[in-house]
Amino acid sequence: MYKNTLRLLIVFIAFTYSLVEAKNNCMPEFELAKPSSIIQSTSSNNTEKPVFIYFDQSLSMQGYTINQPGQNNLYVNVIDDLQQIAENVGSKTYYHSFGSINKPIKENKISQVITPGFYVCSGSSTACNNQESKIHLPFKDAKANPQGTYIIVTDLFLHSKQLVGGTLSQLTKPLKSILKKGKSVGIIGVMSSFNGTIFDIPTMEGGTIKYTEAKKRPFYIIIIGDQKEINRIRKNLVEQHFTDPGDKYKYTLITSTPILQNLNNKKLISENNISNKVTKADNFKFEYLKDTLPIYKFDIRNKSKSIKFKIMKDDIIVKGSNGVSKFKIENTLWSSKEIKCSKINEDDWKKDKRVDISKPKQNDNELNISMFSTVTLKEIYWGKRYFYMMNIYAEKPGNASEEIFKEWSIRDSDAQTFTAGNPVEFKTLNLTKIMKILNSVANDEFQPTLIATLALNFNLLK
Amino acid sequence: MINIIRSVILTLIGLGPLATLSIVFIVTMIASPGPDASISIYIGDNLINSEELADAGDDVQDVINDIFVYLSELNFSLLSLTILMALGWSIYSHYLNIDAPGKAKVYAIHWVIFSGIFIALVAGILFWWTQSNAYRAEQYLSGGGKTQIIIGSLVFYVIMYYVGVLLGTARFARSSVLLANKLPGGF
Repeated sequence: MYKNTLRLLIVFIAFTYSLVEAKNNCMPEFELAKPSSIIQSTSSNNTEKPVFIYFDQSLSMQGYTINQPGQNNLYVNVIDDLQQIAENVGSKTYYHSFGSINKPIKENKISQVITPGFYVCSGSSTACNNQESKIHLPFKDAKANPQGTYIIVTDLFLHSKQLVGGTLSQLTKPLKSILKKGKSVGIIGVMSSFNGTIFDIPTMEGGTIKYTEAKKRPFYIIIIGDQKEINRIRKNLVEQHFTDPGDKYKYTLITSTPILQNLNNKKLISENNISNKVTKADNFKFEYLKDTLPIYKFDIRNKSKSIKFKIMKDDIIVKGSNGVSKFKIENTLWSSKEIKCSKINEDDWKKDKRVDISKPKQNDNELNISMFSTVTLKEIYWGKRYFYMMNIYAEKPGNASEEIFKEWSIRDSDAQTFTAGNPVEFKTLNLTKIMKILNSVANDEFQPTLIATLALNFNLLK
Repeated sequence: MINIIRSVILTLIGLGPLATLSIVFIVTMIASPGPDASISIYIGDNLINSEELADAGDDVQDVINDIFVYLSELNFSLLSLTILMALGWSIYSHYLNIDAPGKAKVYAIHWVIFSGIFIALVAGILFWWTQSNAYRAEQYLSGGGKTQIIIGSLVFYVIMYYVGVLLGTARFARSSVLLANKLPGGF
């Protein structure tokens, strides 16, 4: 009897407590949006993973290995060090060369990569087509064995004809598969000294010409792997080689997941994200509901202008990636005629039909959301309590890498005129086009991602 | 004094019919008619911005009580003002210094100014109730609804005032009030 009474009492207390808590919560019933899964492939043990290095063996690469008086030869230094870095990243390093075919490099020949002899073809003239570089071959290997990290060293000099139809799909298909598995592609462009011949420059008439007067020319290190490893390799190279202010290098990360994290998961949203208008308002309170949903409670006048909410891009976007070109807001507004939380019943909450309430805007460093800028506070009824819930999504990936590499790119149609100008610094053929292709593959794989969810619970005064 | 009391009574008689209507309306509003009552339907259809309400997730029934209170208070203020001003003029007219034939016409200017002040006060009250955000129910009214309230109330209470002062103005000062000298001698 005593036990039953006690049990009943406990149940009663628990029930009363849950009721009180619901009332104190002062909010309508809603379902939280499920955070999108941010697939960033990371392996638990990096040291067990193999690293594959591919060197472009086409003859146009030879010029990087020969010093040009008065110019800094970054190619020799970087490649020398890259082998060291690769060996630190993975368990075993495999070296390959690619041109018209893809073949392994014997260990005793690895050191020759930075010598002109490595690029000289010793076979017969028909078998020895060493002006072609089939860049899709390493991508194909990466698709077949996604566990490894792949480093490709190339001049990325690709003709338009290599970037259409079947040849293009040979590159995009494996890339799609790689990105789908959560891998990313990092591209480091380095402007190095050059003393050699650039072959296969397309002319207006449809033929090709050579150019020998270039003193500088960019080469590219393409890294396929986990973002963490790509960043590690990039950091090492930057710290060791690109320290001189005169050293020119560019970096971009092609990934289908440019979103770093969901801000709710690690409770990264705080009072600092919202404007002073809210934090200094009467009855301001900030709390997390069930450790997930940040809620700002406050009183505000209906004459107030929009409420600013700010997110630092570094908190949500992977550094060096294409970023996000469009953010989307999904929001719901409820109102209750009863303003005292203790008196609000579930039925008192009425859902507003307007959905276009707030607007996102971004600059280089921040994502700014003007809450209540489309439907202003003046346009909603004062004398009510409001509960406003907002989900912020990254909707469309950006194309930052195209802009980054634009100045090093030359189109097929402009190549002849450009060459005729006897340039000292030679550009890369169709680089922007290549970036565009890589981006479009990454963008195809991109899924709208939930960045943050937050709520405002406010009393609108006149 | 007897004449003043007579004026007050005549003023009240003049105000009577329309004041009764106003009082009936105020009482009806206080009594909160049901959703099916004609007045509720009229308010819902003509005074309230039901589209905006629907956007906010509300319907007419959610706000109609606020409107009832709002209209009753607005009409109470206007009725009080009208009665006070009409009585005020009627009593004041007895103190006009009309000591020669035809002098009453000179005091028409007093009546015009007094009436102008009344109209300005009525307009001010209406503006305060419909254009400022002093009252919560104001936000639920449509533009057309507000116009109806402003014009309707202005016409209604100005007529009420006019009829009141028409009958209540001192007999010797009637020439100062528009058309008051046309009243039969018995009044």
